[in-house]
Amino acid sequence: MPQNSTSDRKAMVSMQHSGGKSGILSVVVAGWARAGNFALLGIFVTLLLIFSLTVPHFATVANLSNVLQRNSIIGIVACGMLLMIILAGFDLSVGAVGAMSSVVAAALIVHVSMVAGIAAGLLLGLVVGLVNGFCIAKIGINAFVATLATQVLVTGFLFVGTAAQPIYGVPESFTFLGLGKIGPLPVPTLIFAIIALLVWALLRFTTFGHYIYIVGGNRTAARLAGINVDRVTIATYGIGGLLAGVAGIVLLGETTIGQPASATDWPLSAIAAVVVGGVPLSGGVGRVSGAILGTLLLGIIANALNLLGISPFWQPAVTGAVILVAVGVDAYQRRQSERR
Amino acid sequence: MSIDFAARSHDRLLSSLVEAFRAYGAILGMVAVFIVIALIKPSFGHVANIENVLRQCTVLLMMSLGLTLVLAMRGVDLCVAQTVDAAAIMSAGLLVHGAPTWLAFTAPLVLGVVIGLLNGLLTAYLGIPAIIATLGMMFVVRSGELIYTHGSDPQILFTLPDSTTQVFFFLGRHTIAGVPALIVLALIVFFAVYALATRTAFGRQARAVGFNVRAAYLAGIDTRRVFAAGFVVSGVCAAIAGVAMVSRTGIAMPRGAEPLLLDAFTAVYLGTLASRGGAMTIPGTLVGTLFVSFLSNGLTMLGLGAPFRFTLNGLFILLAMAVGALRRPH
Repeated sequence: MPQNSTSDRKAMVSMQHSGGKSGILSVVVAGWARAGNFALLGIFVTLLLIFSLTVPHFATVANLSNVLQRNSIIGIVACGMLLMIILAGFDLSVGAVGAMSSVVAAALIVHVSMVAGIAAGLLLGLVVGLVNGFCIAKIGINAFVATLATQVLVTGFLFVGTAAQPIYGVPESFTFLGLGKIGPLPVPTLIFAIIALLVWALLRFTTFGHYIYIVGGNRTAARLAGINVDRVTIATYGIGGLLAGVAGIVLLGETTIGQPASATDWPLSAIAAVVVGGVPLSGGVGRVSGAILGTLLLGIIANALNLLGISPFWQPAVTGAVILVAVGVDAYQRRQSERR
Repeated sequence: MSIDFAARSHDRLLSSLVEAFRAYGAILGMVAVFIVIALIKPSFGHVANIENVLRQCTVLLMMSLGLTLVLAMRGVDLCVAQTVDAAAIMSAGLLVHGAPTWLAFTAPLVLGVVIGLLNGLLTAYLGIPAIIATLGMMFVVRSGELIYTHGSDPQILFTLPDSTTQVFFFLGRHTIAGVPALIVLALIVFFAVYALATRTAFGRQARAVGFNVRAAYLAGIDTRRVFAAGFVVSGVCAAIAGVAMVSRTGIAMPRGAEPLLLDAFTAVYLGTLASRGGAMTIPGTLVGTLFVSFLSNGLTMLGLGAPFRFTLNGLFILLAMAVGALRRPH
């Protein structure tokens, strides 16, 4: 093959390109994702610095510990949501599941025992998650409708079961889970950290974790490669439900009241946190660090607005604008890198 | 020979019965539910009650119609309910501050177009997933409402002098030739959206985008524009619904229409039961809206409140989607 013929070399290069397209594309995407993660970290650190310098009482241990405590619940939910988003889905029922878990746990803690309450809350979360997964994988309903329906259904059962009344009587000692501190570190944050670590390990070191990426990236290819796509889907939604259950228990620790009408904003907040963290809804990509950073980013912005005494009426707009800008820039960059 | 013929016609009758049941079974089921409720609670079937529910469901119908177009293109519009609220508050606020009635009717529609355009820009042209883009817009619009109303001060119209509200309230409270004006308006919107979806190039293009974006794109359809236009239609429909709502109730406040969001989704998804092949159609949405509204009314009359409505709505959505999924050939 004549090496000096430019036309031939071009042809070769183009052949290489077309032949190894997915390889090159994946390198580009991976590189971009790394850069994107750093960019997000940069934005987060910059904001942290700006707020520390300009917002009074922001950079105090008490305030930062408060921010961590308040955002840990959404962080726990976001870790589960991350898995489902990597799988190219999401779960709108996490709020209803969290409320249910906290109500059932409250009832059982009052009437039976603490262990039974926590176990039942977690188990119910897992079960609803598995039902979601079953509807999506086996029946073939899309994730939006399936989880919307289970959300409505679970909320309905919860209201019928409790007659829409909150459940009181959880002992004060239970607040350790929601309000307790070990040193300056709030207990919910510790739980969040442990769960984030577990999810990180799951995604990085286990075959199942790798399957989640593959199924999310391309279902058909995953099936053809011999992966039991249905089982991966059901298990992932199960984990998502379980983590929503954990968050429900922590919520109960915070309030000591099993409130059936609570947690309605969890699903959208968690999806927003993960997406702001640079994880695309199209699936196949995503890291725990994104979910954590997204959660904390939205958390410190809300906290700074509070400390600055900005009207709470503006806060939804700021949250909305942050989401739109973060995801808009993300989508724009993605399109640019695809064009290249 | 004659026996053979009879058997064959029997078969054909059976298969056509099965076919008919497939097509209309869901509607029969819905009617059966209502017959049961009416048997338990005869006042459910009274003309006055039916008319009342029909008048109430017009708001839900109008917002669901636009949502149908967006959902049929595999988009999502989470901000329809917020648009209803914003339009209602704008309309009421204008009247309270002494603006002319025509402005109270038209300005909210412009707002609906603007919200729809923004949603369309964010999703179709910038490429933000619809669920995120419309979620962000929902927050922004909600903030606007809260700021305008200083938290949650309701915009109250019925304390205004009759002379300023007479024309405005005509829409919500009076009848045209014996038919409530609201129902007339809802029918006009229904037929307009129906015509848009079935008789225009836009409607055909939207269907193509819904079936297969890539194929639609390769066939030369400006898929971005069609997708964005869906959001504009949704915004306008929601704005009309908002004006209708405030004209009926005489009061507007932030987050007043938010509970309707879930009902609207339920209506659209239940509507897929009423069409062959489980497609999202405008008449299907009408059926879904009527079912959701009458069911909620019936449950209230039976003394079963919102909890049961939630449970049943959830069950029905799952049922509708499961039936749709099982109907589709794999």
